[in-house]
Amino acid sequence: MQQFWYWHIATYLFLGGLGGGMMTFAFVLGVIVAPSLLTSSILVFPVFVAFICLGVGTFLLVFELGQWKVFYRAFVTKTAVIKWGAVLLSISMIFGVLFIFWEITWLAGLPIIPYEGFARACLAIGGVAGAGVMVYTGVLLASMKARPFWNTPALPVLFAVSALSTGAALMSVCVGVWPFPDAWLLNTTMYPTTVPAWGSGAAALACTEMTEWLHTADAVLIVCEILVLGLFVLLQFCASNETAKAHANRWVRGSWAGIFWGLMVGCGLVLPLCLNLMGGVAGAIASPILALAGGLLLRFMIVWSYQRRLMPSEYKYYTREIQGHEPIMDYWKKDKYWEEI
Amino acid sequence: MTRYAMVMDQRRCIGCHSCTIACRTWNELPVDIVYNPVVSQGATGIWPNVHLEFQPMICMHCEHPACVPACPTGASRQDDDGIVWVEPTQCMGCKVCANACPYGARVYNEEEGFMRKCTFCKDRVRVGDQPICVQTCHQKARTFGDLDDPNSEVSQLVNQYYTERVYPELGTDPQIYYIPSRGRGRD
Repeated sequence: MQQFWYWHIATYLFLGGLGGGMMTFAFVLGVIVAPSLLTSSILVFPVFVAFICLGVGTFLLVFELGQWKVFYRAFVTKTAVIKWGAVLLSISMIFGVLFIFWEITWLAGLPIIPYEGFARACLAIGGVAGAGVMVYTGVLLASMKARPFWNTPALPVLFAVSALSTGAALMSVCVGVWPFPDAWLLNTTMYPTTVPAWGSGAAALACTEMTEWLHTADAVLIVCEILVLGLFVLLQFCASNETAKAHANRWVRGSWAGIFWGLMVGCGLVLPLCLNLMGGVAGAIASPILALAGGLLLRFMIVWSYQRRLMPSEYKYYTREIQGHEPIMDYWKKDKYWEEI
Repeated sequence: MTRYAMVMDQRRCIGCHSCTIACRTWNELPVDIVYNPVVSQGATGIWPNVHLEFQPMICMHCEHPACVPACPTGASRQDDDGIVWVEPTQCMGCKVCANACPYGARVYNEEEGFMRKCTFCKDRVRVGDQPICVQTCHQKARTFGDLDDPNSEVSQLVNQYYTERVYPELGTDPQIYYIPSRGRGRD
């Protein structure tokens, strides 16, 4: 009853967090941990994938709207949470594209802006905005004081940790896929002025190191996510609000217990962690896929735990009005009634 | 300054739903949209002392509404006299306000694509009439007026009787006051 957001928003929250998490890691790796031309060129594909995630998320958000043609008005107010989300999404996507554009023109030997610092600045701004996006997805729901299960400070923390975890998982798969640094960098005759002779060994080594770094980060983040998820559910159990308690009950020992324990905690968190620690092909491919599926399921479960705190007998009123009257309601809504008379 | 408010006298309400129907008719609402449902509570007590109570629900036109700051487009707004309303042409239908409202006062119509809500019949109030639900209530269970005017009927009712508000602890400062029947508090 009174559910307003469905799979579009759940997927948008997941993709926004995922893209934001990837941008954050791109910033951390490309500007803080290993700032070099080689790192930047390896990060082109992950940033491109992050851009796609943010873009698809924004697409879902916009076309879920009732009147998407007035979407531009999301930028006119000052205080709304969703406005800041729209601004951060835009900044992150714009600077992500600028970074990709700079890298590709540079690798192709056509440096339009011949400053390496420009790419790094783009990555920094896009990454900080991306971090904002992943936190915003949680703040958006946590700001709804009408929805007790969402209205808790633990939710933005949970979403942020989940976004970082899924971001690290997808990024570990994307590193080294394109623009095939070995092939590009070996061809020094084609780009003699711009690309130093790193050689295939350096690029491959950098990719391997980055992937390992991301796997380690993902394992740590999954452990953090398990702890934060436990804290989140425990907080809801201890809440003074009956609606929040009812949702927590449904998650842990009610009708959703199988999904929560089996799919989300088991297959979405514990199994990816074990596979990650085992390493090998399972750690490289299966672990990220399961972690991503777990992140998506978390957003769906949260969005579907939407219940508002109800007045006594309010539930009875709303359910009684609709039950058994659907054919009549449909009949009236489709104007059949008015056409016939 | 004017501050519109409404007092619902639950001692008088008999749950006839006239206000609901009048509102639907006046505002030309789609069939599945209700601005002011009348919720029945009970029956409580032990026979022969049983009691059924009706609670007319409506937008609370809060002093500090949760829905207005949540709106990203500025379509959701509050006038100086406290009336909260939505400008349909500016609403993009993101449904954030509906999720933010603790009272379920906002309703969304998929076909129209924008949010709808009770406006305290501001088209009638601005020309000196009463909201249609107040005018229709034959039990005089609803009283509408300016809370800032000490001589108005709503001010006197609020000052004279024990009144309750819905979820005041959320800090929204709702402007619908309920006089509970038989002096009994809500369950």
